[in-house]
Amino acid sequence: MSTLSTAISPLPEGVQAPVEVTPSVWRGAWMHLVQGRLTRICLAVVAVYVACGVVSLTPILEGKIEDISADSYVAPNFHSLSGLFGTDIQGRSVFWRVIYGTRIALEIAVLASAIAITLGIFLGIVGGYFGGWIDEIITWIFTVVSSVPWILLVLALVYALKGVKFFGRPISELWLVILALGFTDWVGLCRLMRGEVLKHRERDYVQAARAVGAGHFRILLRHILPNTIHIVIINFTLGAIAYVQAEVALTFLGLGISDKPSWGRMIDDAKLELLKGVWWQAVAATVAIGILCLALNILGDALRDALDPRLRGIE
Amino acid sequence: MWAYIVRRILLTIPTVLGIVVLTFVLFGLVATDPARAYAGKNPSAATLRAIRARMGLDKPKWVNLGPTVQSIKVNSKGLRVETDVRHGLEEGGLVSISGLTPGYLDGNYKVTAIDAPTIFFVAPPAKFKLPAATTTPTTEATTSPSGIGAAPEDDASELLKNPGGRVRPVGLGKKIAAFFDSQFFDLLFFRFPKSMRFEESVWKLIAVKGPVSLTVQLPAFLITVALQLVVALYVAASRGKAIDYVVTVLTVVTLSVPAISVYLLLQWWLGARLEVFPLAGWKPGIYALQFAALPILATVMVTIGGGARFYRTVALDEINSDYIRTARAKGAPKRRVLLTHVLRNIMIPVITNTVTVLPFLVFGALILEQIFQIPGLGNLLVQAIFNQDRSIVMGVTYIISITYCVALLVNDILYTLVDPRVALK
Amino acid sequence: MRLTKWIFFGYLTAIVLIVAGIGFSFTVEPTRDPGRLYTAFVVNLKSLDPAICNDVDGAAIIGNVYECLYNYKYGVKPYELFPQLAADMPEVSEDGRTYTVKLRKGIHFYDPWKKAFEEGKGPEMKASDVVFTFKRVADFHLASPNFSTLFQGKIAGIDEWNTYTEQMSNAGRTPDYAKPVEGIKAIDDYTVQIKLVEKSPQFRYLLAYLGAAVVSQKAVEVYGDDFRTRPVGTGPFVMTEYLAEQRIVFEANPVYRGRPDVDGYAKVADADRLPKLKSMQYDYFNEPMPIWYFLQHGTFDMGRIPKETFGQAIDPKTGKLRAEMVAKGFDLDIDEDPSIYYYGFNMGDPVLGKNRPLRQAMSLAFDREKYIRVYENGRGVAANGPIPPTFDVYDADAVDKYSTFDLEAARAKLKEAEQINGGVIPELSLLMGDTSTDVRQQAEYFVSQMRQIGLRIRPEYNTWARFQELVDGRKTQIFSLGWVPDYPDEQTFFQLFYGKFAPPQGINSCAYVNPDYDKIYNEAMQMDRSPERAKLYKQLVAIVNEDCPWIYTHYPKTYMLRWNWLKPFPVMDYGSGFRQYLSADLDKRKQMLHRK
Repeated sequence: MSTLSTAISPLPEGVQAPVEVTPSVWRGAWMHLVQGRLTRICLAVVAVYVACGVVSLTPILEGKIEDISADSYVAPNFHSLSGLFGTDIQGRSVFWRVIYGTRIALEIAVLASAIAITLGIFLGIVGGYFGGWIDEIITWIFTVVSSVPWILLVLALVYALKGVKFFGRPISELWLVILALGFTDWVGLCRLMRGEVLKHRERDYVQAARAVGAGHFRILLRHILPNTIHIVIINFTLGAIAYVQAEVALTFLGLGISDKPSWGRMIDDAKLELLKGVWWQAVAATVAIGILCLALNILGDALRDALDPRLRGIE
Repeated sequence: MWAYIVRRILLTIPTVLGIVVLTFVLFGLVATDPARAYAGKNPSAATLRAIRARMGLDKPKWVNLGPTVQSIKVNSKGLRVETDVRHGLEEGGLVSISGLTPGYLDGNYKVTAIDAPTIFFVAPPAKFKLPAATTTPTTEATTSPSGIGAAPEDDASELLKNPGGRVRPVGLGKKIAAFFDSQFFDLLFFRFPKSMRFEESVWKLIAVKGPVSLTVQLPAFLITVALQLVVALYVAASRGKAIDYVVTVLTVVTLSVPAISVYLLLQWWLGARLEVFPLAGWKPGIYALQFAALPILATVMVTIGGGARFYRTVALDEINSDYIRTARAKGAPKRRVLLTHVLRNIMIPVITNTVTVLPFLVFGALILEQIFQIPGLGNLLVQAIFNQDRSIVMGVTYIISITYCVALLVNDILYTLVDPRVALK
Repeated sequence: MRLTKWIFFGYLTAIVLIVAGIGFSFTVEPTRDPGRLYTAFVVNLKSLDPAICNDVDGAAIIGNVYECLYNYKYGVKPYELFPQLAADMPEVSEDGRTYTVKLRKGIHFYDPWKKAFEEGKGPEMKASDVVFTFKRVADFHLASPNFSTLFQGKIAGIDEWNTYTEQMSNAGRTPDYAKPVEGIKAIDDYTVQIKLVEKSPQFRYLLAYLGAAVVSQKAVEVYGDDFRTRPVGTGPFVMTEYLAEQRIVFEANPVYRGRPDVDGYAKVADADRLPKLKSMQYDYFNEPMPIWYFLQHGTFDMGRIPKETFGQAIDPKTGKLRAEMVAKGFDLDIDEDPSIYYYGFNMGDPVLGKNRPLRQAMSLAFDREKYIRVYENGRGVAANGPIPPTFDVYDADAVDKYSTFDLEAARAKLKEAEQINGGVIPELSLLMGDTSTDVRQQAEYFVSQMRQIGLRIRPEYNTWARFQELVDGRKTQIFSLGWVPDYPDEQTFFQLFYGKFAPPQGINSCAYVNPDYDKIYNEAMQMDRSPERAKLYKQLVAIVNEDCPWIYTHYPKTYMLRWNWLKPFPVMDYGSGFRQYLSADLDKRKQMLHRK
């Protein structure tokens, strides 16, 4: 079940019309997050991760993550910051590599989301708003894509893109993962958006805008998009979790990122290490992923409660 | 209602076609040539050709319009036609050849002998006269494989080279059959070539490996759903209490930790350190359960969270519904209300979930089976991906997707039968 | 209401049954046949047909049933051939091109399913069977990967036969096996004559290669497509059970002659009769961990040690078996493999091909000792040339000046290289033929080694299929490969540098072309084993060492763990069918397992 089925289990049909999302609702949602003790902690956690990611974008850590002066498999110790989580097979500091992994995870989450969200919003809105044969085609596309197991789709896409040259250079492993995830995971959002737009299309305010002669583009951008954007935000928090975990799965299957330290790679290394008693890489990466995903999960739930109570229970 | 069901069934057809195209493009067109990997250290061109022929890779990709004519020569018996790919024409059959020199366009010819992968002889119909050059007497009848290599020296005249014409069988039935003799239609019609790595048909492999996957997945699924329901009901009933928060947070934790970490750490801790369960492996018979125990436990741990959270929400909605409030107000005991009314109403999402998940129970889990070395379908699929075993990867992907489509269909129809209002939507 | 209750009840029962079943499964001990040997097989056998099987592990299994004309003497190193189905070593003509092979008499095929031969015991193996076998390997329809290794371009007329079968196959007809092939002839019932295209002293080794194991025409015809799961041979064992991907069981062949090196009618004393063990079972696992688990529990009698648990079995300080393992009843067999792992350079690459100092610098910057210690658990010997141990030309004490770890020298060479290149060396790509964790870690090690001298390397991981496509297409810069020889002659390594074998149509993967090398190679190829040839071989090694088309990394070692109720069992790197020599103290095994 796990990877295969959870990845593609269908969304329950019949999401009902949401409450109108006005600026006050947004403010309310923000207050909801900041005032709750749990959500406040989660916000702080995410902020720390983002900070780690930003630090890793600078060259500060470049030297530290590839330093092989220590012995291989030194157990965690408190002699230095580098040794806090021990060292890996090459003698590199697991601590710094975990920190650096944040960057990779965030890059994948943000960029893959960007692709998936753009595609999802575009196709969902266009399908829902224009209806007719356009809608039929879009519905057909996402039905087909969602019928093929997600992980297989991602694997196939990575293989397919591997040989492709982009401006004379092969696509980097990081981008392979991002593209493969982004181009396969727009389906859920597209389905939700389409459903939402279908309902908004018939609403009074859209009809009114149409009556005063607003063009399709203007109606979509000014009226419908703002009223459905909360779905995107909720989808982003949950999507980020899926991408971070998908990176682990892809690396495990040998198609992840190998030229930079990523969490998936550490867990993959652990496959050979745990039985030697080397647990620190696996545990460090797992905890790093676990805490980030936990925070995002809780935030996502809270956002959902605040913005759209009726979406509860939808994974 | 029946109209809806019929429409629903018809709507599945374009989806299936879409799935075939997607599978074929992703796994078939862009994949590397698997023949080279199979052939070993230093294969010859002939070996590679032979392997490709056995894998069905020498067929046209999408549709078979007939092989393209490369050159046509004339000898005593008829025309010698060279083509680019395997033709699939039968000996003695009629063919039409387009693209000959003027005067020979689109005539019907009789195939009198087929001699090489891409070279065969066709006898022109009597009404056509061969060019003068062919009257030169030739010594040997070329209809039988006379010598090693079919390069008889009696080619009297060369009609044309690279005319770009095609050779097609004559007769509507044969034409249609030939048209569908391509890699794409092989996939669509479930005509998977044998797996090169296992020398076994894809169906046979599924029949052997499916039950193994099921041995892990089915118990895991049953236990998971039972636990999910128990947790959901219990937590929903004690909404707002400490236990609610604890369990809710725990379910979120199971959703947050990567499944692979759970598998690996459980394997290390319970398998290697405490030696409670076997580390990995499989043995047929009753011993299988011994090896299935840890994977089942791991699967339950990984999958319990999502469902528990979902069922909790459903249960909460039910508990807050009017009829439950009424029942409670009338003084029905809490436990009774939960176990009968709420549970019964939760069953609908549970069954929906079950029907759509069933196909995947047979197909197992890719990574779980890798880690615990369960020789199931998931494991097979991962191996096949690494080994570029096209027929397995494409075949199994296609079968999974179609089964899933059918499961959705069945689910929708069941739903309609249970609740006719659905059809009206 | 009733229904709900029943569903509920049924559900609960199912769960109780599952839990009970799992609990019960832990209490039962697997039944074992006390007279049977249990081991694992690690490759998925795509076919039990010797013509199709082309890997060492597969050959070890199929070799229990099939025999070749020649085989290697058990336990004798350096390796030596003995006539197995042949009655004597081949008679070679003056020009070295005609081989006449006499066959042993009274050797019969055996069909345990009694379908090809009603009694089970088939007709006597004759020269016609050998001719059929050879033609069959070259049959296009079979797509035998062994054809190019064994016969292609070597036996007179065989390529034409291959073309003919291709035409027949595409016409949907069966080729006529009565059609003569110039190079393979049955002179009489017990004499086969083989004509070669050119002189080749190595050809005799190919007659001991399992791909050329003799099959029965009758059995092939009767079983058709099923032949791949129905081995009918002349060897010491017959297969009695075959569950694809799960289990293979062999029993002693009832009509076996008792020893591989005697005639069918020979009297062999009962004490000397082979196979020693009457029954063997192989269970399939493609990953090492389950094998280790079963080995520990005595379910397997022997097996390899996985990397992950190497430290549990072997003391890293002494390199020997740990005391507790010895106390438990284990023995260790270590074997030096005659193979090599290396990083190859694409000599056609504009940066690497023309820049010898660059290749030398990279070879100098690679720390082999550390690599073997950390990544191979010490299971290997640092390589000092293209020829691994067990070969005459190999010299353990020889020092190749570019195969030593010397960062100073490497940096100096790199300076030279930058001058040739006209500037800083650009980022180079390293191609790996697998995507597994092991391979990724090895590539990372290579990258960090090269970083020490300031070279940037970008690893790329591909499937084996794609890897070969890229190497054959010369679209690589650096690639990681190994070579396992087919026969015990250095030529199997030297051919890897021969100019004419450059890709796409050859095994010279690095596309190394050196006229001096080719000249000596051609000369040596015409020579039989002799001190003169060894001298030429040494020259070849010196040329390759200087030119550095490869970075040699290591010669691997096999560590085989064995319960001590089994007698020591030397690992044989060539040949097949050696399990017949394996013997065990079955009473001791019974006692030891009982004690547990």
